[in-house]
Amino acid sequence: MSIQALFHQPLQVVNLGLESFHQSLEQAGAASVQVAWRPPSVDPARLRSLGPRLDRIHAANARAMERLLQGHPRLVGMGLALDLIPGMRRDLLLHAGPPITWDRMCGPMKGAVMGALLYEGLAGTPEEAEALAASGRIAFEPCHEHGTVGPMAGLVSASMPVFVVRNEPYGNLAFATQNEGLGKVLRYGAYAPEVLQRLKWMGHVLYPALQAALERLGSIDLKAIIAQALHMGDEVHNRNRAATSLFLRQIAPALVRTGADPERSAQVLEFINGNDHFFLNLAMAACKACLDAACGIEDSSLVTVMARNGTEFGIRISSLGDRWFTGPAPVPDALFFPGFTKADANPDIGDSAITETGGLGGFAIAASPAIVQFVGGSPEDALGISRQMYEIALAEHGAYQIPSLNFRGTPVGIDLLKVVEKGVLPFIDTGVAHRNPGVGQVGAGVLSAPMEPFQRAFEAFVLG
Amino acid sequence: MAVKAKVRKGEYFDSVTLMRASRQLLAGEGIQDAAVVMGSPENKAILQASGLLGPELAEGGDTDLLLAVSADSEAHAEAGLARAFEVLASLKKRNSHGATFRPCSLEGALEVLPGANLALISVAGRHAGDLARSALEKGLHVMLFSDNVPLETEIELKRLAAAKELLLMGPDCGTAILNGIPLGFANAVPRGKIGIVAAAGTGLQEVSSLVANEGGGVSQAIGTGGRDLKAEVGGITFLQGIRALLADPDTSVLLLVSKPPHPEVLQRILEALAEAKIPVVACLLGAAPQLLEGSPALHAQTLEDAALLATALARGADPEAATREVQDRRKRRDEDLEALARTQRARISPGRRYLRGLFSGGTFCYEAQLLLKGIGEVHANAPAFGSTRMESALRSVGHTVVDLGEDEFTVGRPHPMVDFSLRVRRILEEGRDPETALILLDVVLGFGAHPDPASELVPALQSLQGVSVLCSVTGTDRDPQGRRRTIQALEEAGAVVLASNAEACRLARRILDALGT
Amino acid sequence: MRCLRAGDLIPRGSYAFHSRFEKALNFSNGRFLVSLVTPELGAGPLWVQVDELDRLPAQCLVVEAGAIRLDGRCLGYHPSATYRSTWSREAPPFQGLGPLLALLRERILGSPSRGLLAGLLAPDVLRNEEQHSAFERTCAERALEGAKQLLSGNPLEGARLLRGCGPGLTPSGDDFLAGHLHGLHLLMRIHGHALRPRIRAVHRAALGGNLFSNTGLHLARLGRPFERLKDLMEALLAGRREALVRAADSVCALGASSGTDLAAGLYVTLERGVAPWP
Repeated sequence: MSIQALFHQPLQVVNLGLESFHQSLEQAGAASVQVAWRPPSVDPARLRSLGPRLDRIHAANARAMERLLQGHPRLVGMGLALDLIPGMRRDLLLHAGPPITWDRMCGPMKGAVMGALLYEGLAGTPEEAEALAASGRIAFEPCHEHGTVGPMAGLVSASMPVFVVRNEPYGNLAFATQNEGLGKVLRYGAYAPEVLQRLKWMGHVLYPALQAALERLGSIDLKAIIAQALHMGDEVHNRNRAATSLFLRQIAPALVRTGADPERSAQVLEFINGNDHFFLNLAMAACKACLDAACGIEDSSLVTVMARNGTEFGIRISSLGDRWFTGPAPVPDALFFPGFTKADANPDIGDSAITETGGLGGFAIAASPAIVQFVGGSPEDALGISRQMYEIALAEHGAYQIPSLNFRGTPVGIDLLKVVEKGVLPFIDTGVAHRNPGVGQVGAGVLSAPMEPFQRAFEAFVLG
Repeated sequence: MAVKAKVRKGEYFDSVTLMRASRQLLAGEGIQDAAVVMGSPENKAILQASGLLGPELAEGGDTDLLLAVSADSEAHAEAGLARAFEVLASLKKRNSHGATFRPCSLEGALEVLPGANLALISVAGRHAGDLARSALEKGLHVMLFSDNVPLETEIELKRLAAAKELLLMGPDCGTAILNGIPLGFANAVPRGKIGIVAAAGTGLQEVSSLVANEGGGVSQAIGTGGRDLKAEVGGITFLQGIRALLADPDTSVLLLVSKPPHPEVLQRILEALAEAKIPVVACLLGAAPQLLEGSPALHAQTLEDAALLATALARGADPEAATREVQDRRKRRDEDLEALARTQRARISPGRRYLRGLFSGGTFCYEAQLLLKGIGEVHANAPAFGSTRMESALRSVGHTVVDLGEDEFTVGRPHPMVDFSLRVRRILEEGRDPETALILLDVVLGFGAHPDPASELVPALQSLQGVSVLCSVTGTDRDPQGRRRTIQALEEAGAVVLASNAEACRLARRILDALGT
Repeated sequence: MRCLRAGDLIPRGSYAFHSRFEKALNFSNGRFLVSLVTPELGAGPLWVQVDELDRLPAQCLVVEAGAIRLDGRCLGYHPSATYRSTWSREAPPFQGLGPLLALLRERILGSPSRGLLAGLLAPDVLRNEEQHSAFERTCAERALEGAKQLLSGNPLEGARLLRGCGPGLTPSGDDFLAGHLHGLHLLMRIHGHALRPRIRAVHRAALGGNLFSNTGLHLARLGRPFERLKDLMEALLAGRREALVRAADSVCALGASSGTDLAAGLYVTLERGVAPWP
């Protein structure tokens, strides 16, 4: 609008910088908004150098987002990891996060490795398992490199049953194990006999029952469950109670009909009912499947993976192929259960940040006031955080909505370039593990992804 | 007169919030009186006595909040009251969860304030250019307060702005007043008929405050930043400002403030002024009057003259009458200054003979050097008009004028208009120097400046002996610091307070003459 | 949220949530307020100073012998971390108030948050200043009269004039009266006058329906200052100029004008003294 026009309109100011100017403007009666501006995390000259490519980048991101948002994840079946997961072998263990070697693994991850080796029968005692793990005869690879996702330590071994999620329009598959529940469990690094017993039960009872029920049902629409769960107070990372209930409702009749033994069916129902996080693994696989379809698009700056292994935090970018960009994993800012403090906490761990990458979890936290309070904030904080995430997102989700933001779609599609330009990092809410293997969850908290992986990815993208 | 009132029950607001709400209420259009107070019986009695106790307030009790306004019309009263509630709500929201949500970027801000028409940018110079470009690309006008923006960037951005018919004020633009709203370091000045385009922040503050204190008002005051009138930039913003104000129906006098422009730029300015249908006053500090020959613009030698001329013209005087009026006034004032010079001369201990000017505003330092030309060698850290460059800005030698806003003083520190510690220390040093006869200070009030400069300066001034201190106070009574209050405090501390920097310099000169230096 | 220091006058019992501000969370027992405050406010006899205030909804504060609990959560209070609002038995030697009172006056007048009542210290300033509104002008006049009466033989009339009068969450007059009562305690200490009946009577006359004000008046009647005020009064008694400046500035910075009004009440009382009563 011209200068003349400006003279005849009320002044509405965006203030970037000294806060005293904003206060003076308010005192003088003008409409003003103070921007919490921070300088870019990368050299502005490098950002500017992308100028000529910007049109191509926008077009590529638009294509990537279309693929991401068109994705329709459905649970279509189950099977054993060795049979279904591409590249799976008996001497291979899949783990959460970016690549890592045994010697650099954190406590819970090592414990989970040992438990998996015991489960597979490759070792008879914990000591044997430890020796075997260190021997070099076992390979360790990220779940993500095999179309799989695992929460916390995220261990997947050959004999473990996995869910198969198919992304309908594109046909690509994603895999995840069954969630064990809370307390002393493998994913927190526990390998005591009761852990192995539970895993065996899950393999012999839970899995066949669910598989049969699923065959009968055909498939379960995961996108629909997630969409409804967001209206019911879940964000499907830290809070999955509603989604688990919805899943249970759908599968229960089929379980009863296909179950040979009512007692077993009852155990299965009780197990799912007693595990508020049962749906988490499915939510993760659903996000993985949708994001995988948006990979490999030239010039796209979409973040397709955020994952942690308890030592490092890693990301992947759509146009940068299979490359991992990493930095040290931070310790979450948490509310600790009685008796535990930050000193007990393990650095951030798990593939569950795939939910944030897919526009859920921390990005939908405004949908879950209960979780916010649990992690020490107020409902207003939750709204503020979600709002901030829109600033680094490429789009708003069509199906996943936040009731308290007038059913606005969740911010989805993290743009690497916006992250480094605005200095705003993806917000993740997560469980916190004890740094020693086998103790379990010690709190729940929030953290921002670290900046280093994004800076490294940016450098590669600019060269790219 | 219309009175509207309302009771707010069930919520408590802290006193600072109440004060802010009350101030905003009072500043509303057409509002004559207002009160935001707790409903104690005593306050109700006072509201009664002030004519603000409406029947709506009867049931308000000690723990309730009473809001009352009187305005020149029902509509204004209603609007004022509604605004008060909005203010309370927004301030409360901020208080109730400490850090309110703030957008992290210009884009985010535009989601919150879609009608935004101006970006005020004061981030580090390294990043300011990119932000300004973004804002211009999004169709916003820009005030770029930041300095240390490369010249090439300024040129590129000003060309972009001009092509889009947008204003880019700056870089290094410290002051503007648009639609009556003070931007950056600016004074509370009433709306009126004088439009200002200035390439100097404190220059703009001085003329706008003087205009206000003379009973005039400002329609718009556009800052251009200090480099706009260089050949490379070509006066892009200055010319935009001139054209906009010449076409503005609410402006009936145009006032220009700058240092002498590059000759090519001056040419373009004169061409633009040739179209002028309203009187124009030009203060091109230090320029010879011949520069404006042939143009309709009246030449003002000092900022003070510029403001006085403009105010007289706005009152309806024709150019000759206005010029005469200002000259007569100066002559009368000079008689007072002569008397003052003698009394001040008497205060100065024997052996003291030098002037020490300690300035927070660069333009004042510049104007001082212009007005002090001829008193002998003058040392300066930003020399002009034949002054000698100081070897060290930290040590005064002979007659010295220092711009404390220059880089050597401000790297890593707040600006001297905000932080007085360096200046106070320097005042004490000059006082201890047995050769200092006279200290010259500018005290700049207004939004953005120190909340109480008098409190900082008074203790230092009180400790001086045998030295004459001259202050000019730039500001108005509506400024947060209060002009009269500040003047009184400084006078009580022994300073002589003059109405303008020019006047202070003229008095300084007379005192030095009287000393026989 | 951890307790740093708790005041020494907090009675045991339960307090219900009353109001929430950025730096204070208030709980009430119907007669006065006990507050959780952030470190910047310093300590106070009825305050529990915590490291930070979280934003979870709060319902009930319970104070027991060794523990303070907010909605069942223990705040980690240790009895040794108590703010003592009484004067130390070794009172610093009194050196004469004159020059220090002038310094206090200067700090009050120079404070940016100076309110109406600070103008009592310099009536000409009050007159010359641009008054913001008719309400404030009327209030200022009433306050001037009230202060005169308060210090002369009509303290009850003075209290009635000042009570509840003025802008602010705690009306300026109430803050002034609290400062006055603290001043009377100080006068008692310095000169040994028998001022307790006067203090009690003025307090009774000053009470109103505003719980915020009543809490301040309650503490003033007992002569038990919050930390910033205690620093101020100790600096006055000990004759320490630098300490006085710091303390005066920190008291004056409280609220929008509450601090300066309180300080004005204290100053005027010490400077003019009081006429005998009854």
